[in-house]
Amino acid sequence: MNIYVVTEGKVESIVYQHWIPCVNPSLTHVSSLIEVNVNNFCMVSGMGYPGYFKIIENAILDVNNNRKFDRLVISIDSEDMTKQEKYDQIHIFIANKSCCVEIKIVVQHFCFETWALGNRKIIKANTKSEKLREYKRLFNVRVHDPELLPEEPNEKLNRAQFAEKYLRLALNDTFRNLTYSKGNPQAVIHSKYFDQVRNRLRDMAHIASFGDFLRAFI
Amino acid sequence: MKILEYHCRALDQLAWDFDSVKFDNINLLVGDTATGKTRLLNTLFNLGRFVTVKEFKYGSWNIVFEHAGITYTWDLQTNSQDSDGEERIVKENLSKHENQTLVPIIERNDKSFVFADRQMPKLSSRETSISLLQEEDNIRPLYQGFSRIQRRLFSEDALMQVSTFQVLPKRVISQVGTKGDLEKLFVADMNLSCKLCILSRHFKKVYQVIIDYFRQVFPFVQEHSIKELSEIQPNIALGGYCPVFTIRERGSKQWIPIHEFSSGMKKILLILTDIFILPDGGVYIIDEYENSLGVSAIDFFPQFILDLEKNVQFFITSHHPYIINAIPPSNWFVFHRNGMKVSIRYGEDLIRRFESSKQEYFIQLINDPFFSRGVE
Repeated sequence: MNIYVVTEGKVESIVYQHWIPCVNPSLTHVSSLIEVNVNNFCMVSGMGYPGYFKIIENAILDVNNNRKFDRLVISIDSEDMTKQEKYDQIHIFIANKSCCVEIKIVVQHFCFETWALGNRKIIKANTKSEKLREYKRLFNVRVHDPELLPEEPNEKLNRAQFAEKYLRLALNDTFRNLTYSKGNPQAVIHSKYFDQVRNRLRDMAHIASFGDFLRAFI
Repeated sequence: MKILEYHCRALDQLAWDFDSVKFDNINLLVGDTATGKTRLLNTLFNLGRFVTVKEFKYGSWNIVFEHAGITYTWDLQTNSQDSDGEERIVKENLSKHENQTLVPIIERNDKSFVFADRQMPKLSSRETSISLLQEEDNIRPLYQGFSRIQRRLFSEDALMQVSTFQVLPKRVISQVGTKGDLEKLFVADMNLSCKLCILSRHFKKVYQVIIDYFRQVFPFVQEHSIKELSEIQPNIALGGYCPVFTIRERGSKQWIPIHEFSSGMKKILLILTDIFILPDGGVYIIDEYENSLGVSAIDFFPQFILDLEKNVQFFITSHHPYIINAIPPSNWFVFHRNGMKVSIRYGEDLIRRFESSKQEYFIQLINDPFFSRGVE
């Protein structure tokens, strides 16, 4: 099975390369369409630039023209929308486009960092950072579903900004000198990190949108 | 002058080493931040300074260039900054390409300096032979070639500098006016208004082309005029004729002097003036063209240089999707850095991969592992 994956931001373009083989070890990443052979996945990311719908449109043309693919996966953040609203937005966009393979939509609700906050091991009971303690008081992602993270009122962060900052602080607090950014997400790419996120879904039924990611590559 | 092949290794404390690369007329340097694009352009510009203003630079250069129909190979190496002793050139070879062979013109090392088969007396080891021998008939054109490398900086300060008030230098007027020599205008240290003033008087066609392009980018410019400073600022007198380039916008009666233009307007006017004044065989270096420019000014540039019927070699860096998409990948040079080693891949080599996809070239570029790994 060959899969064409479209992602929205830079973080997914890095992390998915490592996480997709965790979901389905038979899949190997290749970096261009001409390298696609058997059981490969190829990714195109918008890297955060505007024009994501154009990339989706061109991805459909690519899978139709190349005839090498069995599936097209479209991954996108729901951001300020509900998961269903974002799903519908993409679905309406692709509805009138003819695509020769099945399309699976993965809505990261509400961003990649929400999933990454699902790793309970990065939230220690005794955190050193005062700011992190404050965040935990506001919403403890170790206990509650990260997909329900609210906005952060004091710093006026929307929930995606809050999730990113929360994750960075948590990783930095738990593992000294370990930092996280969308351009440098090395802290979360490891299969052990992925396992913790998957366990969160399995054991606590939190981060439900991560289930769509798992199903997209099986 | 056209730089055909270029290799540079800095011999200063940072010791950056760039891949050897073959250049074209239009060269778009692309790569993630800090991959070495600007540094490469600096080495090129510095080499020009080394020759023309004798500004010593530590480094090793291997360059093949063409000037006035002749191809030359020039290898230049200085001592390293870490080494003992004073700044000096340790090795220099200049050859002319003739019937697929290299004919030596200069062979120089620590002990000997041979020019055209003649042993030279002791000369400054801090200066390049092209600089030392610039009065020689067969070296003069090369010196001239290196003096035509132009790099512009577009910081707020730099743009302010070119739009300040300046009295029109009489010497330049007489030189340019009587000889009709545009190169005199190129080398003259003058602000933009003075240059435009001289163009409007002595090179009317060139002036009109600049204005036409300027209005193409900024169609709201209704009229243009070069006014005397006293018409604009009656309270300032500089003791001479001080031209000020002004425009009047559509729907306004107000004349706007150049120093009140937006940064983007100043930048476009400066680039256009530079390019049209740059003598034949000039090299023009622009680092991050898109900075301070709006969409219309960004859109304009790629097609402008692709259509330009002028013998100018361009070196441009850009991170902008429009610029990168609009310039063919065959003109790209993709940068990647590992420590101090800068690898440069030809865009030409990406074309086969890119043609298998309908994604825009910019999107494919930023997803390419060589590009996206950036600095390792």
